[in-house]
Amino acid sequence: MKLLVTAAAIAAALGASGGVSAETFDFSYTFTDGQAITGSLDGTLNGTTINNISDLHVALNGIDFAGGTDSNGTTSLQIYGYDSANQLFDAPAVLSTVSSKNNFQIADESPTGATQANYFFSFVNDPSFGALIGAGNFLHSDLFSGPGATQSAADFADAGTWKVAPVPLPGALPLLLSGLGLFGLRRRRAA
Amino acid sequence: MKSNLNSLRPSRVALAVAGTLAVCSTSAFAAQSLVKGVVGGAYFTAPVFADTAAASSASSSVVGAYRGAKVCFDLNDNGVCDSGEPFTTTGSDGSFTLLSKTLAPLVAEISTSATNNGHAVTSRNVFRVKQDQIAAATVSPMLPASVDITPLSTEVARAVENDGVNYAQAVKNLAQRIGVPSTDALKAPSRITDSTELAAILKESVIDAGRFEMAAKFVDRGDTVGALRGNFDCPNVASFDGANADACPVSDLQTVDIKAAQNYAQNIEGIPRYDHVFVIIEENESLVSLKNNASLPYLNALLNNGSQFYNYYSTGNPSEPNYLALGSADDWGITGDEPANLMYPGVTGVRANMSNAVDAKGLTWRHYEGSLYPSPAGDLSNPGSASWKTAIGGAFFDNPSVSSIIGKDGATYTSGLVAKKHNTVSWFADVTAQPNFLSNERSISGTGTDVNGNPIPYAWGGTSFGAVPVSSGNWDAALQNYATANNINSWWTGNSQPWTQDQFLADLKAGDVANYSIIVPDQDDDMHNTGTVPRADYWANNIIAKIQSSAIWNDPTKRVAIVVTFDEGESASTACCGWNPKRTGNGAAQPLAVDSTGIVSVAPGVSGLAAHDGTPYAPPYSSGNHGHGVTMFGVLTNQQVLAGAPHGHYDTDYYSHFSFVRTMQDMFGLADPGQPGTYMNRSKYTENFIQQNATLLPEMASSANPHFDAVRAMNHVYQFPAGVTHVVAAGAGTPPTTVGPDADQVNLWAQK
Repeated sequence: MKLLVTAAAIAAALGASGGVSAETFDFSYTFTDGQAITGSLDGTLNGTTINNISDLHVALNGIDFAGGTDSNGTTSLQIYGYDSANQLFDAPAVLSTVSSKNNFQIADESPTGATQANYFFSFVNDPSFGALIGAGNFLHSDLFSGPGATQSAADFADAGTWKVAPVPLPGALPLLLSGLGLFGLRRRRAA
Repeated sequence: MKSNLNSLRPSRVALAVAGTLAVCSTSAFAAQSLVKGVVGGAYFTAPVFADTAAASSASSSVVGAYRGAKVCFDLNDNGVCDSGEPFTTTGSDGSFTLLSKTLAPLVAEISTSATNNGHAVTSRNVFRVKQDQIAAATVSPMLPASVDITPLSTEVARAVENDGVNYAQAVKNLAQRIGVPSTDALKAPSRITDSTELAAILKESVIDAGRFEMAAKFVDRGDTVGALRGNFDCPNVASFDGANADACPVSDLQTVDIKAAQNYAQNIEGIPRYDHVFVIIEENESLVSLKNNASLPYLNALLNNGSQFYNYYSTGNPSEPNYLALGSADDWGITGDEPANLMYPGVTGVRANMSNAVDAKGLTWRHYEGSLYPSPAGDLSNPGSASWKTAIGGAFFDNPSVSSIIGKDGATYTSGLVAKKHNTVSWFADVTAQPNFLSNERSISGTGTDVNGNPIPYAWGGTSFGAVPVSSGNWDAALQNYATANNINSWWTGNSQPWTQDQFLADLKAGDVANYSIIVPDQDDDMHNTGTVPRADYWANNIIAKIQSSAIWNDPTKRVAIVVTFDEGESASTACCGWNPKRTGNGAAQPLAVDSTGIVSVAPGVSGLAAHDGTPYAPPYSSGNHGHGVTMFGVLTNQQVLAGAPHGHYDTDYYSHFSFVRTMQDMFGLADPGQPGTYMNRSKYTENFIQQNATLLPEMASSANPHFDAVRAMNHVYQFPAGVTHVVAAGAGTPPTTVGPDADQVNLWAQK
């Protein structure tokens, strides 16, 4: 029984810390004017591309998208890809650890829908126009600029700083270490 | 902090705006917009005008960027950043990023708290961007669009709103007109890398920014439409001109918003902005002696194919006062053209004149003179010295260091054809001291080929006038041969290039053409010398043919005009429009000056040293500006020739050299119609100005015909009341209308 418990703990620790299962990534982009996007998502890393993206969180200059509403109720962030041929965000998104491969928009409304987004972060590389990176937050007026001013940032080239990195889950490392410790103790006692 | 919180609440105005948009413009919500760009333009350093070269300096333009400008999406498209419209403030490099849920035009409000290139902005300005420009730069609503807000983007917006062109055509026209690719025309200068493109965009930026700065003043002061379109019967001059006052329409009493003001600023007093104007000044013929004269087929063709002003008065007699008036809207009391009266080089004190006024706005001028004697630039640092007199002698003296020239053909050609009295520029010490003066005084020839090398008909069969062979243009050829044989370089190239007797043709070929060019033939080519009338017609035709073969003339996106007029009309002193009707004799006839605070005073008369003998000289001012007869004033524009603009129209209102100078100030944006004092010298003497300053204008007191005596732009705004008989001076011939309104009130400069 003790052996079973130990094996389960090890498996749990491995599952939480990597492998082919979904994991959490932090990402950030610092615009050339110093403004910054930070965020996180869950997904699976396949080569340099993160697939199966879910649980998106984005903050522009430290201000999170805290949720919005539209006629259908509460909105949440989704990810979309830019389709050069149709000039629409109706293609599969590509979010990569390599910035030049990025082709995505994270927004709280579908870019092809009737309702406009209140919050978005776009990072598109396209053969026809190069890299365009932009972010906007209609839900937060810029206190410095005054009423009516909205938060936004934009770059016309991939000249900022793009970072994506997996995030170890809280407690995953202690679990792994404890599992390995139990396994070692068991082996020593058996010897 | 409290005020900040309060300001975050939507105002009633903002809500009203949003509500209006929701009802009237639902399609405007179709796409949001993320734009990033620069509020940019040029930073212009004005020239410094002084009587010495050491104290003078040329203008310069560098890349400008506006820090602290307020940029907004103009949701209600009124040209103003209203409360509730998304806005931001530009950074130190003029950059901004702005987001809107509604695609709308952009406005940049540049207040005096902003800076341009680190320098304080001295006068408020407003730049705009059409919504089409944002749409053209937008790939997708949530991807950033590169949109700069500049004087040129504002000019495009104005053109779309007023000139009957769509956005794409407006951009194309602007780009072609200034010679840059359409893809670069609306970029901020900071993003232009090609030096030729940058120079063109900077120049246009200076011109447009200056005019739009004026437009902001129109709005801020509450100027009326009447003042801006040059209707001097409005708003308060009826008492001055009760007999001839036209009705003042209610629309002329309205004020203007910024969008309308920007259009008025490009059409000041109804005079549209031209890219190039060539003014050919001939000599000593009244209109009646020219009109329908079979010996003048070319000049009459110009009148018939172009536009004609029938009551255009000279302002003095003899030549010299008229050329002074053409160059500065005043003759400064000069009443003769004998050598002792020559003011140069000793007259000191900055005098308002067209050359400096053009320079001051970042524009260019040239003075082309026929039969210039080949001579290199010499030492101009000591005006009046012997070395100065030998330098560019051909420009200044009837007889320079040589009295005759032997051409390569062995023939002897006499000099004496170039007359300084026929010069609108060289009188002013603060003009000749400018660094660009030498480069602006250039040669011109009335013979030879057009720009494309095609011969121009020169059918005059005469052999000589005053021992000057003319049949085949030998005089110009002899001058060229003399220059070549003696290895003389030209002063306008800083002695770096061989003398060219027809630099005008070379400039047309190279596209190196000034905005404002005065063209003065020699005294055999301008009808001055006896028997030269037909020859002058051929000479003028030759110059016109050269202009019409040039690329600038044949570019329909440019506005180009050729003016042919005469210095005086050989008639009695019955002139009008700002003249000195009473010859007060008390020294009170100097032009009035208005300082920056609006205080009006009598300007000091001129004084100085006579050019030839160095003795003190003070002209009898009170006898100046006494007027003279009616002469020809014809205008032919490239729009009439290329684009079929209306032609053959006439205007019988009273104009003079002073009116012409006022018209040129309007055309080139050199003066502010809302501030009459900004017009130079006597060109400010509108009915309104005379009425308001009557006590300082004794020579205008108790005028029998205030409309006749006052200056106005040549815009055909004034309509003679029915039954009113026109003044028709001797020499005018028979105008087509002598009683009541003209056949139409077409603005002859505005045909397009």
